[in-house]
Amino acid sequence: MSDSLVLVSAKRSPFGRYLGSLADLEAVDLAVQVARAALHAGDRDLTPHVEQVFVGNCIQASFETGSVNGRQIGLKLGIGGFATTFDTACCSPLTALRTATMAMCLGELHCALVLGVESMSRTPHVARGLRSGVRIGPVELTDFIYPIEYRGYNPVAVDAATGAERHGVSKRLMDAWALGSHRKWAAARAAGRLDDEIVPIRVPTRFGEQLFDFDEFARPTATLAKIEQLPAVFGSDTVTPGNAPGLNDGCAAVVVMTAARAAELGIDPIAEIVATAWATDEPIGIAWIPAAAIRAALERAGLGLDDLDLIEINEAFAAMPLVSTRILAGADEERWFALLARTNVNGGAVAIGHPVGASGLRIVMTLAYELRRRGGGTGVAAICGGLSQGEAVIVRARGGRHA
Amino acid sequence: MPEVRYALDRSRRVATLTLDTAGPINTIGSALLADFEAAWTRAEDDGASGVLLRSGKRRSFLDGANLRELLKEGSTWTLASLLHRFHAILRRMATSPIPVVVVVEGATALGGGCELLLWAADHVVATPGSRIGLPEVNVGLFPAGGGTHTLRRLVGLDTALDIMARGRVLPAEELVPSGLITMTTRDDAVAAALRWVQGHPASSNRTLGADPCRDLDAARETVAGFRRRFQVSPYKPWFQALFDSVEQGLGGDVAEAAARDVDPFVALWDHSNARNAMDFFFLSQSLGPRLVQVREEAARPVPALAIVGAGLMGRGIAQVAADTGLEVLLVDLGQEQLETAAADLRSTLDGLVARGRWSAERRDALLARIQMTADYDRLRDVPLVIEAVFEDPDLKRRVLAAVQEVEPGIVFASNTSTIPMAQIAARSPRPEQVVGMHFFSPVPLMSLLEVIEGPTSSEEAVATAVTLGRRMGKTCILVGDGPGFYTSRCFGLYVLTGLIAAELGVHPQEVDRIGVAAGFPQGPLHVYGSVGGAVVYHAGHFMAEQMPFHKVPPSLDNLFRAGYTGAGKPCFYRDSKGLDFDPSVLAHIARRDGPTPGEDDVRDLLLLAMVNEAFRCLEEGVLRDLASMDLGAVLGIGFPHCWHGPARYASQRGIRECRDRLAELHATYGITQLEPCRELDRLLACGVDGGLI
Repeated sequence: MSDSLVLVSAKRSPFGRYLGSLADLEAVDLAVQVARAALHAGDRDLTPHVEQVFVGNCIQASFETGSVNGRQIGLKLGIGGFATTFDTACCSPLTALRTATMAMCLGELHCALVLGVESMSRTPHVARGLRSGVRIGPVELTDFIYPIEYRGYNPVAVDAATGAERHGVSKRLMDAWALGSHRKWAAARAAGRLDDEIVPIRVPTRFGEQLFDFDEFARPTATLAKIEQLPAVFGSDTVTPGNAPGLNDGCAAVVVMTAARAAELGIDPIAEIVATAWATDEPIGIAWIPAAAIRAALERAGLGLDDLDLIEINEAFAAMPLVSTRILAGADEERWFALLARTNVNGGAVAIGHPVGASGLRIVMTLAYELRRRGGGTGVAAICGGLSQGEAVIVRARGGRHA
Repeated sequence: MPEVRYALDRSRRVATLTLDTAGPINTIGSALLADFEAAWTRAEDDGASGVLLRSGKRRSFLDGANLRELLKEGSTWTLASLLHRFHAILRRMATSPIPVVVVVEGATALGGGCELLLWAADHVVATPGSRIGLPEVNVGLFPAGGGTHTLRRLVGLDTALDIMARGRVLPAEELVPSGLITMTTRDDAVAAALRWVQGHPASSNRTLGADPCRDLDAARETVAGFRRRFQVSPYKPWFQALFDSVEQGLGGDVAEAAARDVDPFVALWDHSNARNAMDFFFLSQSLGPRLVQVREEAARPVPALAIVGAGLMGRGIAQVAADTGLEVLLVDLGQEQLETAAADLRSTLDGLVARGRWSAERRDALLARIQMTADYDRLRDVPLVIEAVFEDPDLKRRVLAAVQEVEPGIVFASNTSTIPMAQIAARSPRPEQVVGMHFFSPVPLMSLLEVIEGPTSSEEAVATAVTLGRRMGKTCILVGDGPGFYTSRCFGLYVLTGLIAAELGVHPQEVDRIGVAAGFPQGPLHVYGSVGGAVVYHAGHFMAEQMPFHKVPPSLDNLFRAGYTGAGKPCFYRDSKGLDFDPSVLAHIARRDGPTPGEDDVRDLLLLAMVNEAFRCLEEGVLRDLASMDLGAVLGIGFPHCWHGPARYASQRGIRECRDRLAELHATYGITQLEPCRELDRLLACGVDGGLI
């Protein structure tokens, strides 16, 4: 890239349980609260500097008016610049980020708000065919988010399980990874390592407005004995509700600038965006698509696996980080364990939840903050999306005042 | 719906309080106590001349505290206040002039329920099948509802200590001599209670009088004797709490002594070892019966079964099966073996009848269901046979061939403790019929059944074995095939590690003391004699052949060759209790190169060797889940329940700490089995250092 690009601000809401604390908050308003926090992080308001808005959101229909959701958010924030809404399934917010970086590389853009939001609790049920009238008989209401399947393809869980089997990832290992996700989250939360990224959200309740301020989906007292007893779901043998995330609500937002613009404004960035990359494969490759995206990003950046201090691979299922790191490590089991030990170090989607349009940005910011806390370093965040698309982002942080 | 229903017989002026709490059994919780207080007040207000206590449930009179409710509450303050409240109601009933008769109709009164009888009841009318006891030590607690002070006023200090320290539950008949209990028939129970009330209008509760214990020094000496036997592990603090409670109440008032029990009880509640014991109890009660999931339709009905081999195990299995109502055909080589077996079985059962444990009817019904034969042709049309012959692969294969010749479709369940199903079924034309049903000795007392799925075992064979095991009252775990499966592999290692510690220079008695202090019921060298040195020898060598990793310490061979194998022959101890050490055994303990381990090292060697091996079994697919790991270890091979099992032990100590300690011990002492297994690294790579179970 001609001028380097930096993350100057990053905030996310805590992620809500399905039909939990965020279920009664209109998705636009959730996004606006988080974006405002991101725009006001530090001592100043970055709103006037934002030129364009890039929003990832998979289920547009969850919004009251499910159209140009990004634009709705932009207008509410008072940002007049062009707003684009992306749907590449779970890749959405990172596709949004990558597109923003492309525009910045072309010199067309110097400061962007990039956001990912999903309100799965507010997804509507759908009745088709009403428009032409229902002459006789019952009307079928289908659920827009369940089952998570694309006609003509396997359910995602089945492909994830297949990927796990092919790469020697046992159910036992997936269950252990799931437990680890909860425990790492609990340790991170207790140590305050999530304080930088989380912004409490004002939610409407019967008792007036309340503050929602922690990831309520996580189960720090989970045991492997209980997880391993859960039955397999969605036609797979090994994917269970224990080693999969739930359906969740949440939002994550970052402000991206060119390094020059940040310097002009006197802003100390959180991290530099070193490279972004995409990858695709046949739908069955959903478990290893993050590995492909990571390789593509490393190649772009001219870096090797050993240059990475930390890795984030979204836990669409526990299978993803396990399979993808195994592929990256090759035949060397020691190397694989070493990679795992630096993957999702503060917990992942199995514990935190996976609001599908938001997770992509959560893993980027959690990565950037953790690198900074450790005194600096380089890391990659990768995610898979439905029908096997993948995105990866490499960031580099220096040690910060919050280290 | 009140948990204590009140009914007043106006003509007799007798109030009946019926206990019926939410849930399948009656337990003591805040709702029960509140309703009890209200009902008792009503009885007083109504000027009742007597109160009857009954249960609204068929099998449960009152079975202890509602532990689940208390665990959910989480607060020690709630627990303390509940206990004080319980004491208050019992005290109130005891000091009231109104006679109280408890009617127990073929039901159980355990823990707090028993304490209600001991403190508040002036008399108890019980029907056959009623059982009473104080099993609190089984869940890591002690009787804190006055039981430590009231029971001895009934049965004497020595018997009371024995009941409480062993967590015993007794048939009501055994307490009749104390005068508290009268046995009646079901039809007469209430009438008998009413007669008692009429005949004792001004009763005085026995707990109110002066303490019958006059010689306090002698009493303390008795308690000290029990401490020496039971207070042997710092990881089972409930024993100290039990004996301290008894001792502080000697010579004093029941209510005052009970009040002093509250703080120690609450302290135990928070103690991790006590919590482990309680959690294990719940695990075995709730998940245990349904841990192994089999399709009901896949199991073959087994109204009758055959057992080949009328040795100790065969007889034990036959006894349990017949007691459950199954028809049993016991098969052995010849008339002589069969006659010995029959005589032995009869003598065992006669002993139970003589001691009042069993009724003659039960013994006779059981014996009527067992037939003996030396004729394999009788196996035709029998759905399942349990093979319980000598532990020799060739012999078992011959038995399998002989059986399958007569009845090829029979489910062949081997009771082997070490020989893989693959080896037993190797030359069979119907290998899918072979499955393992590994019972533990003594069969009537050990609740674990290790069902082994061989590589060719059919779904029907496995489902039938599990279903039959459950029918026989066993807790089943399902494991995969491999030498020693899960239980024998880990158990053998316990004994062998003990031998190695002795070879490194630790005195055998010291090894055993450390094992017991770690929480094991018996030290490894004591247990060597209990199971029989010959069994350990043969199993040890078999395992070493199959898995070179498992080396046999030279002392094992020395002991075997010298005839130090226990069971009538010389051994480490001359007595079964392991108190009378035989120093001549030392001559057969080889000397091993290496430093002599101190107490901490010996303890860690014994515990971590088993833990490591358990995780190895998990890694190899022999063990399939963590619940099986802990259930199997505690119920089958004496892993201390104060640790809940290897999985909880590793979780509480920390997996990283276990791995590092194993590596350290492995390096220091060169014991091959102590090399930390890969599964520990796998868990650590996933960010898991605890929280397994």
